[in-house]
Amino acid sequence: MTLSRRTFLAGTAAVGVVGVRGAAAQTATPQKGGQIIVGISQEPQNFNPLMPTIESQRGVHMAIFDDLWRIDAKGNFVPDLAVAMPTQANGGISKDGTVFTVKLRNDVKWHDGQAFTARDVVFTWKTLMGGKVTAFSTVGFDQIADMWAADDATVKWKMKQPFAPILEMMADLFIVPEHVLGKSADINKDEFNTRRPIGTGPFKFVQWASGEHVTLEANRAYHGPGPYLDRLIFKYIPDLTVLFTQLKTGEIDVAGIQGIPVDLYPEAKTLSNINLYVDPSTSYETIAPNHLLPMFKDKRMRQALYLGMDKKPIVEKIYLGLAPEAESYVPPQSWAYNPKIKGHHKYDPERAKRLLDEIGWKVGGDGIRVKDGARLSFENACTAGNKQREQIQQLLQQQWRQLGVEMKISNKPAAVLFGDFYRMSKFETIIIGMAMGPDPEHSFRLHSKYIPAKGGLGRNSIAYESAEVDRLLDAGVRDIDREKRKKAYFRLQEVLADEVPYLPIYHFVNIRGTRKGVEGFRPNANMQEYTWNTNEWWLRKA
Amino acid sequence: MLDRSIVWRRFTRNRLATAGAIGVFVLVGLALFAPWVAPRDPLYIDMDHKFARPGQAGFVLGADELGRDLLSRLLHAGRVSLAVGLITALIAVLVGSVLGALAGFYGGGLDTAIMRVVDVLLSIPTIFLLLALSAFLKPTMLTITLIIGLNSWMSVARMVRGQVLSLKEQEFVLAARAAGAGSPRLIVRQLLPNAVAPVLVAATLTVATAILLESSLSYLGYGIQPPTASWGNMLNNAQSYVLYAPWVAVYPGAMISLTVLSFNFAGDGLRDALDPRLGP
Repeated sequence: MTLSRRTFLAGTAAVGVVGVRGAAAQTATPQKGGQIIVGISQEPQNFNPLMPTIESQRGVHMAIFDDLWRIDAKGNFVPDLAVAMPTQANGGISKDGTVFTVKLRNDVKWHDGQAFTARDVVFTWKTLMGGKVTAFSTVGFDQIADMWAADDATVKWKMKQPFAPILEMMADLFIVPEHVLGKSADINKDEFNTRRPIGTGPFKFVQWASGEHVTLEANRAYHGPGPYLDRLIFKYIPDLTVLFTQLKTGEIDVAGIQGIPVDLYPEAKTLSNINLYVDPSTSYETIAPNHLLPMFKDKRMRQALYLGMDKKPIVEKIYLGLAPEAESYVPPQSWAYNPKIKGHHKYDPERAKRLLDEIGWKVGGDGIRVKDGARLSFENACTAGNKQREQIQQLLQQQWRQLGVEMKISNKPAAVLFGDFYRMSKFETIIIGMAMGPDPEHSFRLHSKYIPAKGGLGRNSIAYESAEVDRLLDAGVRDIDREKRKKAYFRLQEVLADEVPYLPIYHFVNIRGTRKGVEGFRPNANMQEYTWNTNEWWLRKA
Repeated sequence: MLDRSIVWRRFTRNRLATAGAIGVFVLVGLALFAPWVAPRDPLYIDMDHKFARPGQAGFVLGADELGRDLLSRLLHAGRVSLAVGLITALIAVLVGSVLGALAGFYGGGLDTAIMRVVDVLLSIPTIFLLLALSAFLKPTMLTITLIIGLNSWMSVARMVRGQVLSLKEQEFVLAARAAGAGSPRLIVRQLLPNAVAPVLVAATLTVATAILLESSLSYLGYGIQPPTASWGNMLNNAQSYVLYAPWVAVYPGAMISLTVLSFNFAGDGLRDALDPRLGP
C-alpha cells in the first residue's frame, strides 16, 4: 500500500509504507538488456535540473536524477530518495504543518561513487534559492524558511507558514551533488550542465552529441528496481512527422516529446506494430494577451475576444474530439475543478461586438475597429511548424475578423519563441501550452509577483496583475485542509472566468506511441514527463 | 550582337525552350489574373469541408486541412511565389551586373574588394545566411524577397566580371575607347550588352532557386506567414497529410516543379539561341 496524497491532505490518519517508485502493476518478469531510443522534437541542451528547462530536458533529467518522492498515476506519493513519506501521523510533519522531517535512504550512491547524504538535499535547496544559479523556479520553494541536515540520513525543513502543495513541489526538485557543484566557481557555466551531469538516477550520462542525440547508460548501482535496459538514447528529430515515420519504421522505439500529432492519429490507430497511449494531462492550450499592452488592459476587451472564439470547430475538427474544451486552467479530472465553470464560455459574436462598441472601439473604413486613431490589430505568435496551433491561429483570425479585429500571424522557431520573446513579455498575443501539475497551485503563471518582465522569478510572462487573483492564489496554499483549499480554487476559477486573463482553449491529451516490445512505459499525468519511471522500462525480446 | 531574327528562329526551333516559354507565360498570366480566375476566396476557412476530395462539394482540386479551396489557394500562391522568384532574379541581375562590371572593368583594388566579398558570401551556406538575416527582420514578402535576392547576386557578379575582363581587351572595345568613349559609356553601351546572354540564363535559373529557397524558409518558420499561401508553405503544410489527403501536397509540388522546369527550359533555350559561336 502506498500513501495517498488525498488521504494525507485531508489530514486523516494514514500509514506510510515504504514503497519504491511505481513498483505496482508489473505483469511479466522484466527481461534485461538492450537499448531504447526515444524520439524527441526539442533538443535538450542543459542537464542541470535546477536551471530553466524545457519539456524534453525535464525528460532527460528524470532519468539521470532523483527526487525525494514521485507521484504515480493514481496520485499516490511514492518515496524515492526518502525512506517513507512524512505525515502528521508518523511525526514527519509537525502538528501545525510547518516542520518536516524526512528520513533518507542510506544506500544511495552518486554516479561517481560518492555517497548521497542529507547535505546534498540541503545544498540543492540552498543553491536554488541562493541566487548562485539561474533557477527554473523558486515558487513554492521560497515558502521554506530553512532546511538543514539533522544527520546524514535525515533532512529537516521549516516552512514560513503552512503551504499545502510543498509535497507535490518536492516531487519536482531533483537533487544535485554538493561534492561536485559545491566547488563550482560559476554553476551557471559549469561543465556539469552540458558535459558531466552526475545524479543518483537509474541512468548515467554518457554523451550529448549536439543536434543529434543524448546517450545514457544503465546505473548498475541504482537503489531501486531496474534499470533493465543497457542504454537509453534520446534522439533529436525536430519534425514530428519524421518522428512518427521513424517510429513506424523502427528507427526509434518511443515517440516522446511531443508524441504523435493529432493529425497523424487516424493513421497511427491502424498500425499493428505500435502501442498507442492517449492520456489526459494537466496541460491546457491557451491564447494569451500581453497585459503590458494598453489594448488588453480592459477586461471587456478580453471578454469580447473570448466571446468571439468558437471552440467547437477547434476541438472537434482540429483535435478530432479527443481533447475536452477548457474554461480555466484546472482540468476536469482534478479535485479542484469547479463544475459550475463548465459551459461558462459561450460563442456569442453579437455580444462580443456590443462589448467592443461599448469600450469605444468603432468599426473603421477597412472593417477593422479603431479607437483614438489606433487600429484594433495585433500580432499572434506560436511555434512555427506546430500544425494544430497554426490551424487554430488561422481559424481564430477568421472568427475575430468578423468582430472587426485584425490578428496578424508571425510565428517563430521554438528556441526563439520561448526565449526572451515569451519570457520577458515581448509578444503581443501568443498561443501556448501551460501545465498545472498535480496540484491546483498556479501562482507561477498568474501571480503578480512572478512576472519576469518586472523582475519576478516565475513564468507569469503574460504579465497579468490582479489583487484578487493574488489573494485567492495565496489563500489556496495556506491551508492543508482540502475542503478549505477547494473553496479558494472554486472562487478563483469563477474570478478567472470573468476576468479572462487569457483565453483557455482545450485541455491537452498526450498521444504517445511505443513499438510493440517496449514494456513498462506508463505515462502519468501527475509527473511532468513520461520518463518518470525509466528504471522500469524493458525490452521484450522477439 | 546576333540578329534578333536568328535568335528567334533558334529559340522557336528548340521545342523544349518553346514549351518552357509557353509555361512561363501561362503561369505568370494565371498569377496576374488570379483574383478573377480563382473560383473562391483563398483564405475562407470552412471546417465542414476539411480535406474535401477533388471535385467534391464544388472544390475543383479539393480542400486543405482547414477546408480552404485548393485551386484558389494555388492561383493566389502563384502570385507570391512567382513574385518572390522574379523580383529576386531582378535584384540578382541588377546588383550582380553592376558589381561584376565594375570589378571587371576597373580591376585592381576595387576588383579585389568586390570579389573577396563575393567569395565570403558564397562560402557561407545559403540557408544559414538566410536564417541569420531573417532573425533580424520580420518575415514579410518584401523582406523575404530582399533577403533571398541579396543572397543570389554573387554568381551573376562573377560571371559578368569574367565576361567584362575578356571583352574589354577585344578590338571593338579598344576602338570605342580610341574614339573617345568614357568609362561609363563603355560599360553601358559596349560591355554589358555583350554579357547579356549568360546573365539572362542566370536570371531564369535564379527564379527557380528563389521559389525553392522561399519554401525552405517557410519550412523553418521564416517564410511567408499564414494565412497567405505560397507554393512553398502549402507544400510544407501538406507533408503530414500526404498519406490520406495526397492532393493537398501534389498540386503545390507540381506547380513548383512546373515553374522550375519552365524557367530552366526557357533559360537553356535562350542561352543556346544567344550563343554567337553556334550556326544560324
